[in-house]
Amino acid sequence: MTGITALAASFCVLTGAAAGIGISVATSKAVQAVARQPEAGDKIRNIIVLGAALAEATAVYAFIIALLMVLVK
Amino acid sequence: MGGILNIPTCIYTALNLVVLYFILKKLLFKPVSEFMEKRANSIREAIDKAESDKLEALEMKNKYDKELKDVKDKAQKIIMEAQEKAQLEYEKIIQKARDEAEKIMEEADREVERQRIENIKNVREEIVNLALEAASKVIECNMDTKENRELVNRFIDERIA
Amino acid sequence: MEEFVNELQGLMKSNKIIEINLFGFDLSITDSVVVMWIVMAILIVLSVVFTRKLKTIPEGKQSIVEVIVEFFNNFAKDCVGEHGKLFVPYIGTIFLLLIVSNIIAVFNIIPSGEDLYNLTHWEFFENWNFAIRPPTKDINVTLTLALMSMVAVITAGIKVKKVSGWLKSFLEPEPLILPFKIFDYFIRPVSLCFRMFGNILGAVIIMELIYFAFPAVLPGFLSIYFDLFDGILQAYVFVFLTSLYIGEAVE
Repeated sequence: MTGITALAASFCVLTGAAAGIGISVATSKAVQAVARQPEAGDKIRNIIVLGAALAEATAVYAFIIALLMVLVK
Repeated sequence: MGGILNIPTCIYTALNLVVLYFILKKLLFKPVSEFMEKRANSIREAIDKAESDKLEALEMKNKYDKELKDVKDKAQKIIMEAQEKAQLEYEKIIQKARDEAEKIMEEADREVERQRIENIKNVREEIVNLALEAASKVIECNMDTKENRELVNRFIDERIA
Repeated sequence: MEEFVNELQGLMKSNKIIEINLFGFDLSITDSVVVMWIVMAILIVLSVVFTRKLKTIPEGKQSIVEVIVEFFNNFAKDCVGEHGKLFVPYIGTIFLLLIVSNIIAVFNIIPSGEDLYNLTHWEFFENWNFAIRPPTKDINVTLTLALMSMVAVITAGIKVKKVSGWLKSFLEPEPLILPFKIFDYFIRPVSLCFRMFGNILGAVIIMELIYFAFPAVLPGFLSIYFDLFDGILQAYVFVFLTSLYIGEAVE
């Protein structure tokens, strides 16, 4: 039973890959935007923080669910 | 799952947050914000005052400049007037002097003329007398008559002319 | 391994420090609450010390506190808009509380109860289940903070728009949007709460694993990322989202 739970948890944590892709896309676009318009840097920083936080939330949810699966009995 | 959710912790956290909110508001945010606002206001006031002072000073300067210019103009005018007056006076005096001189010259001329005429008259008399005397000496008789005299005069006139 | 799993389970649960039972209600004080009190004490003492004798020309500690307050003023103005000034104390309070809470794990050089028991074998420390960990790794704390943020959002909306205007804002721009707007009020605190909790707990667990594997040197460098950077970033995100929600509510 523990083995199956661990496997499920590991699958769950794979969400992190998607979150990573999401954040990297957002960041690369933000870098392009800053390179094109350095004077809009403040606004872009706020937006990238917000976007990264939202994208990262999925990975965090997956992590919490995996943790609950492994630890809470 | 029941071991994770803990209602007292939630209550304490909420209380902590509310208490911290009021304490920090009273101790940190309110005094510092008010202080900074007060300072900003005082700086703004000082700048405004400096600006108005500057304007006032500029106005004063303009006023004084204008006054100075007026005074200068007035002085210039007075000097010009005085010069004009002096010129006029000078011309008048010169004219007067010239008139006087002319008058004196004329007088002198007239005197000389008169003298000359007198002289000529005297000389002629003398010559007539002399001629008559000489003639009477020549003919040993008195020729001093009216006709003779007339004759001699006519002779002299002829000679002189 | 079993021991480590137990330790992780202990990390997720809140450990009771002082048992209080009042009129049949369990009002026990847990370690997260105690650490929060420490954080509050630090903040209050610092704000008393830093705001003493304000001078017209700032120098030293006064310029630090002015920069901090100015940062919150600008932050509130940028995110909330024209009513930003009203919410500076709340935004600043949760920001300071979260930052100090998140990075307080840096100070876990202070021995925990377990270390003291191992060191002295006094019975007094055996049940002293205390270690300085970020209180935000406790889901109860983050849940409460997220709910309080939503309370602040609702209060802000009612304060600025009055009750009728606030209720009307549920139907704007389309009445069709009503279910989503109501749904928003449930999904927002949940997302705020889990983001904070997951990140900080993740960082704590990773640091615990690193301490388990390499007790010296390496944890110091990684702590800069997992404790300091992640903690400050998560505090910023939490406050940023809260102020965005407030700004949306008062708009």
